[in-house]
Amino acid sequence: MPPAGNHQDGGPEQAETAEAGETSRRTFLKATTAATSAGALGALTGCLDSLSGGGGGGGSETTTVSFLSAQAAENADIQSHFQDSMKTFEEKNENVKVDLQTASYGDIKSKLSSTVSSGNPPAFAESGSGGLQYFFNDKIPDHSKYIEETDGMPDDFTSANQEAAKFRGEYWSAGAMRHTNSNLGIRPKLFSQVGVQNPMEELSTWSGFLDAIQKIDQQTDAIAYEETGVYNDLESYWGYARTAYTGGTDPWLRGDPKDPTVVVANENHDDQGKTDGMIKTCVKLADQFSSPEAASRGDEEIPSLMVTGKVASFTYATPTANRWRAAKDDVKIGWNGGNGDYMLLPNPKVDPEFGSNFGISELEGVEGDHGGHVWSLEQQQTIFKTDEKTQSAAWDLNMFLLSDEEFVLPAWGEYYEAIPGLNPMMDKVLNEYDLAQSTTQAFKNLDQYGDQYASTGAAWDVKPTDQIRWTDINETISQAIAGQHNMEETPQLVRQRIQKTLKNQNN
Amino acid sequence: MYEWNWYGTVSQESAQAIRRKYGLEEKTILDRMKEHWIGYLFIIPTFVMFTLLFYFPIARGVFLTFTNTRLGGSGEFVGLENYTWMVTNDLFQFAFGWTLVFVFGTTFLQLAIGLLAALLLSEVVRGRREWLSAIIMSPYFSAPLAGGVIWMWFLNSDFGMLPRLWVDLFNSPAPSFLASGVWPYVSLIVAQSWHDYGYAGIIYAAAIVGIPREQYEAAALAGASRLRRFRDVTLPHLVTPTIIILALRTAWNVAEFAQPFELTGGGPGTKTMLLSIFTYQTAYVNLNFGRAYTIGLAMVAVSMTAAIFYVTVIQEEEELYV
Repeated sequence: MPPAGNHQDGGPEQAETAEAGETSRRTFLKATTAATSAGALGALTGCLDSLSGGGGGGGSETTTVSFLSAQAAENADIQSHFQDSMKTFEEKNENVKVDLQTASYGDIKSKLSSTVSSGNPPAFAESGSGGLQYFFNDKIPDHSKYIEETDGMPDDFTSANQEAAKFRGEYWSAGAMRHTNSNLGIRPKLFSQVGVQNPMEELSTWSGFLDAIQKIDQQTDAIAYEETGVYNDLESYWGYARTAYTGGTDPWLRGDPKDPTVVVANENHDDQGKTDGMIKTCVKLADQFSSPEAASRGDEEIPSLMVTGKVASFTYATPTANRWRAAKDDVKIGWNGGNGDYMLLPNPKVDPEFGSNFGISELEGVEGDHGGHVWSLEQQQTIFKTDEKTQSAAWDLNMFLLSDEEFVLPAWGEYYEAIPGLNPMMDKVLNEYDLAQSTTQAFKNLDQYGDQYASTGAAWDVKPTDQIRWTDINETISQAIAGQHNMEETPQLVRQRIQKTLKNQNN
Repeated sequence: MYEWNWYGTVSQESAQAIRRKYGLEEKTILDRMKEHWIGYLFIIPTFVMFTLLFYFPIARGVFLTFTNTRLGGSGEFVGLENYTWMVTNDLFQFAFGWTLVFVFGTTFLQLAIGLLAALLLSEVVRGRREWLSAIIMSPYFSAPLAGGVIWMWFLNSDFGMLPRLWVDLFNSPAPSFLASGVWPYVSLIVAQSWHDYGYAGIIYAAAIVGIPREQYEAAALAGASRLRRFRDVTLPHLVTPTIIILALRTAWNVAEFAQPFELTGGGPGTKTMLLSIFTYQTAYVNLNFGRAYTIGLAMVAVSMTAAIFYVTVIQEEEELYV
């Protein structure tokens, strides 16, 4: 069979001739339109290019600092304060303009990632611990020269900032403008109901606290203790893991950052029992006293649960009283004769009887101190590599956020109660404002038990600090709370995961 | 006209003569470009934009799976290390299996509810139909994050409506719908089906409206019952839309992130970890972009395999009606 032809009459020659004959106005019009489209696209690209790159031209002396902040997006009051403060900063620093951009703490890593990947990072950003990766990848300059050239630095940094801003001797960041810390939070109404009269004294040890929550569990319908057990809110555990220790000893990793000793489930280490014991305490507390949702419970849910009497205690309590006022306008913060809605206390310290009282053999005879986690790595702000003038202006902005009273005092005393990033500012905030009990006590805990209140992971100086903290430790414990593996095997699983991460990523 | 050779095929020379005669000569790409240059000129802007925004990121993504790229860096070539890590990772294995259950459970539920909604709408008189369509389809047009918040409040053990309803109806404590036993899995599938069944509904409704009324009338005259008319008239017209819905919804459900993340975040623990959430966690918690892209490719493989499977199986089914 012959193949069927596509052209019916006249063959291809005739068709081509006909096509050639049609190259006239219509063809010309088509070609012109196509060329115009392509040209328009090119023009648009050029236009966009000039828009994005135009800021630096024009011969003006003005330096623009683009500033990506998550803190400025935390609530409406602080956002407005940031916007006003950027104008104040511009007035105090002639020829410097601030382009304030915001993203929530949940989104800032992805936003930063996309701007860095596109070659257009902000000059200054709250990069958090992600900034450490940018530092490794040479996107962030060594901040040492700025720190060393500034009066009072780095001594004025809080100890959490001093730990977090440094990596193996180099300053990869410019500090954090504020911290919060984790503490014990209770509902006085429920604790007084079971006979507690002096919480500061009676709940100062884990045995005392255990006794009280056992009574609440038996005598009321409330959740006696709620673990914020979703992996990204288990900083509660990071805080009280320290309470089996004294003097600021790190419960997880110690020694040479390039080849650290993992204390967790380490049979050859004297402190294994303290660390493993607190991991088991976390799982057992959640199992015995928390709701079935504990393994997916975030801290944001606690204020509404506590002010409505559904939760009696938790260990993610932070200084920020505004979060409680958002849940209940007339919330009574403090003991209030046993009639308060919420009160902040130091985390209980491990006492020699706690191990036997709670059935954790590793903690029998162990005595620790009050202690907690200080958020600092998560809030570190960094200058990105750009021209020297912009970097210098970004440092000025950093110091404004750390030390200018017009910004610092209202920010951390009024709009978002928190601990300032510089030590000298702490007293000023305390003196200037009539702060809620929770804020004052959080400040006091940090001041009084300073060594034990530390930023988890900052002192390790290991490269994969995020993966170890959030995934290897927290996710593994969260799985245990969810019943995916048992309490006894949890420390060993944590150890295996940490060791694997260190082996693969700490070179 | 043409010559047959020893092997019974047309010889090379005569085949060329035939092609010449009918204008079927082999043309090089350059020849074609010269011939259709105006057309090529027209597609240049689209091609450039697609290359920059679509093909290049895909190619770069595939390349990244062979590197140890982390946040802000370009990484070094590590061969198949990320793939080895992925297939030996316990959490990936679990997330892969649960993602398949989630995707197929959600997709088929969306299909079934969407079809039911479309059939219901086809029975409603005009005027009311438009209003009812808007109500039925409204979840699809809500932001997934908003859907997550709605379901969170609906299922919440402390304040939610469903647990209270459960207590009233069964006079026993309600299970924790987002934490206990199989409930988190059921909750995620139901919530996602609720959000996206409208898509299937829209397509099915359009297909049903397009079915000629005469076919129903003929079937009715022949004594076909309602069920029979649905089976023999409606269903054959829905085969092609079904392929489209299955393929697209499968791909989208594989990539679904916002609503499940809002509802359980992969928890409690990692009990409801989907590949999409695992990818996010690998990229933005562990900061390992090379590995995150590798998980992303596994998600692409699931979508493509499912699409090929649907097209193949349903085409065979379609032939039964021809």
